[in-house]
Amino acid sequence: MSRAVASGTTRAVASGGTRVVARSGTLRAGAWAALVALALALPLWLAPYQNLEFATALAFVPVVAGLALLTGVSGQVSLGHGALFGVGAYAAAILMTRAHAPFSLALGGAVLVTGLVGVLVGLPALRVRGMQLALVTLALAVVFTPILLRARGLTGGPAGISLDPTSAPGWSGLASDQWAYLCALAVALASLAVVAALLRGRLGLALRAVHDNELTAHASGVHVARVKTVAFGASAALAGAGGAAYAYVIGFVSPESFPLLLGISFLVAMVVGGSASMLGPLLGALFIEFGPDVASNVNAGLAGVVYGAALVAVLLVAPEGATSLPSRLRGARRRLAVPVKQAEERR
Amino acid sequence: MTLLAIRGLHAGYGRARVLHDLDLDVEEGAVVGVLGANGAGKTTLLRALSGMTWREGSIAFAGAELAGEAADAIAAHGIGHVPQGRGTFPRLSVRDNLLAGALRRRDRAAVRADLDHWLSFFPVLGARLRQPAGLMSGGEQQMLAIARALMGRPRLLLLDEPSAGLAPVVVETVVGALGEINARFGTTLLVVEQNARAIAGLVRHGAVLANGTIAGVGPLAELASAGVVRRAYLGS
Amino acid sequence: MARFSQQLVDGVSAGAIYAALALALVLVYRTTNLINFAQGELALLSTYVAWQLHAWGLPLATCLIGTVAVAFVAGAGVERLLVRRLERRDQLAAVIVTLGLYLIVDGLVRVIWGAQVKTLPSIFGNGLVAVGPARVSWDSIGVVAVLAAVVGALALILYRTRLGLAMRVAADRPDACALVGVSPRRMFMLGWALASALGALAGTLVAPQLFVSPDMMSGVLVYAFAGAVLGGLDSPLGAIVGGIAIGVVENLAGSYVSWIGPDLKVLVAFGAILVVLLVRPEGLFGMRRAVRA
Repeated sequence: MSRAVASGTTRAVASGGTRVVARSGTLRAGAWAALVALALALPLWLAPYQNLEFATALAFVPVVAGLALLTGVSGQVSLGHGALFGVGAYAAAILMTRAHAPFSLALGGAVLVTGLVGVLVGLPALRVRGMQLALVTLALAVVFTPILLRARGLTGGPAGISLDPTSAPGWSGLASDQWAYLCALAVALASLAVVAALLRGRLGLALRAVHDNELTAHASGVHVARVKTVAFGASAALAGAGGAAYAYVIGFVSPESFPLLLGISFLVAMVVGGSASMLGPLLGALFIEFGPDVASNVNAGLAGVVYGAALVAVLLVAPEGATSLPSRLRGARRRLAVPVKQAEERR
Repeated sequence: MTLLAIRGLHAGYGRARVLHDLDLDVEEGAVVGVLGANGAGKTTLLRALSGMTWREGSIAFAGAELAGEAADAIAAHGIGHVPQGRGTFPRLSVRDNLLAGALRRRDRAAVRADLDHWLSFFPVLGARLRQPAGLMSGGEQQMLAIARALMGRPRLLLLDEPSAGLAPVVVETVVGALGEINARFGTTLLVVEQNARAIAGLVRHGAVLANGTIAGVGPLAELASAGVVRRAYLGS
Repeated sequence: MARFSQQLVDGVSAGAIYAALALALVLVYRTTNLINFAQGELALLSTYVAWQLHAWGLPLATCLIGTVAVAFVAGAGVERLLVRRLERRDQLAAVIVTLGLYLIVDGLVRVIWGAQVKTLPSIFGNGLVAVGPARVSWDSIGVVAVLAAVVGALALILYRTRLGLAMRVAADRPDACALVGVSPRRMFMLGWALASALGALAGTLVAPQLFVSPDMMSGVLVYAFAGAVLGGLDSPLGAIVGGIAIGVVENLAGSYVSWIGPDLKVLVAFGAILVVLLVRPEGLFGMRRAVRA
């Protein structure tokens, strides 16, 4: 797993020299601008069902970004982000149907509810070291669907909740599927920005310290359990945001939409896309959205095999994910000074 | 006969190379003190010999080339190593720790006899026989680690700071045990020890390390009089 | 009263399966310090292999024994080829690889055998016997008996043989076990092999009750994890006690607590994990690890 989340400054330290900073910084800003422009233009060219697919992928981006925040930096694994995604989706759906809330409010509500669930679930697990969070979130993922089925009054039971079809505001002149796509895009970009900001700030520093060496972090005054819980809560809130976007885009939520496999898919997305840059969650989300289509052209069950094989292959070849490949290729030619700690680990 | 013949040994940790082109011969039955200032490579030498860190070169032990072997294979050849710090198995009982030391031996009856022998030699271990080793004090664990190595009846025993954390009386007992296995079984000993006085009676030969290579080898008295030891510790 | 004892017996029978799988999990955790999320799926694969062998006409006992043997080898293979290459790099990566394995095996099973539910007859037959006021199937008794025997044999090996000592040594300190001549790599392989064989045994024993389907083991896995956490992830005895306890509580809760009912029984597993982590994270029998800086 990547321990370094690239920000402009970190790259500079590794590459050495302000000239490189300026070059890489401008390059990346330019690349992002181009990407966003492309993303904005896309719905104008694509058919409605294609917009829907891309919008779904965009709804996955916040979840994967949240996972990258959690795992890539603090070293914890969550198998329950599919369920948290579902919590956000259902929360938004309920707010939009029962309370007739507009999407923006429903989004806020979903984020709050899911964040709260995250903190409640994460707190017991994160007080201890080790993989307990993975176990708790596994249980959460398995428990989620039966609870949805049972709480008919709230969730509509097996029938799920259908949303009124979204209609784009008159001033935009867009079709409803295009509008939904743009909303999902906005949520995706906002969540990437939030994660980047969090990582650059004190939380990011604390998380990296915890991941590196919990004992030392604790000795340095980092409240380890609190940091880990905040990280998990934040990643849960992000998953909730993605879920809300998903509900808005698809217009329908059902108990069968959020199985354990979804949570594992999100992990696949994080690993394949990588946590080395903010592009990773986007690549990962695209992979899990469009990958199964390619795979099921061959055989329906093959999707899982493709996922799993991709996961294993990535971990064996490029552990930091697809986004780390360019720097790996560059690093193969250039000799970087290796810090002593990494050298010791290589033993 | 020459039990251990080291030629051109390079060793270190990660990217750091500590030992450079080191040559050393150790006769069977010798008791050799490894001397040198901090950072000279004493611990690295022992770890390289037991396979715990990377090494290049030739390590010939009783005719077998060990430089490329894994640590467990090296132990199976009859090299025991009591490392610096705690080398015990904390969750296992004292008894299991001791029996673990004899895992490569096939002579069951002799193992039982050895167990009784060393338990009487180190009574404090006998008192805690069924307790998990991790609950003992540092000094007790050190004793256990040494006793465990002795249980293996190694041909060559490497000891890194065996007196560390031990009360003087216990140090005497340990040194006595080492002297005994050397006299009775002909076990060759390679001892790194800061506490020179403790092992003075035991050690007859010295190997002085300086800057990652051997600065002098021979009977202790000769080394001392030639000033090799002083130079190694204080610089020339 | 009859209902209670019936539920109790059913709970112990289910708990025995959870205990077996939990033991497999603990074995892997103790020896390689990893959580194998694919343990259930590997057991599932073994169960399908057993079913296939039986469908090809082999006698049931041969199928079961053969499957367990194959699983033993396969477990060693997975550790050697996959897990080991990553363990050196990053424990987290190794755990995620087990998730990848989960996906691969799940997909493979669906592709090869499809999603249709299949049946595997019980080696103990279909009969019932009266135990006090309850009616117990020979199948349930047989499952508990076999698992108890296997666990007993494992305990004997682990605590009374030199091989067992070597395994415990490697599990305790894989970094120092080489000093006494124990190869950590070989012990890791053995740990995974044993765990895999145990999982196969658990899967094939429970198959007659649960019916063979791709989703068969995911529920069991959560209960097994709950049992392992309750008992203490590093305690084999804890895994057994925890697994059986979870089985009993789950059955009783599903039967007597009306709002839980049969469909929300898995809530018991979830709740158990949370409560244990809150109250006593190292589990009933686990050792609280003193952290060495």
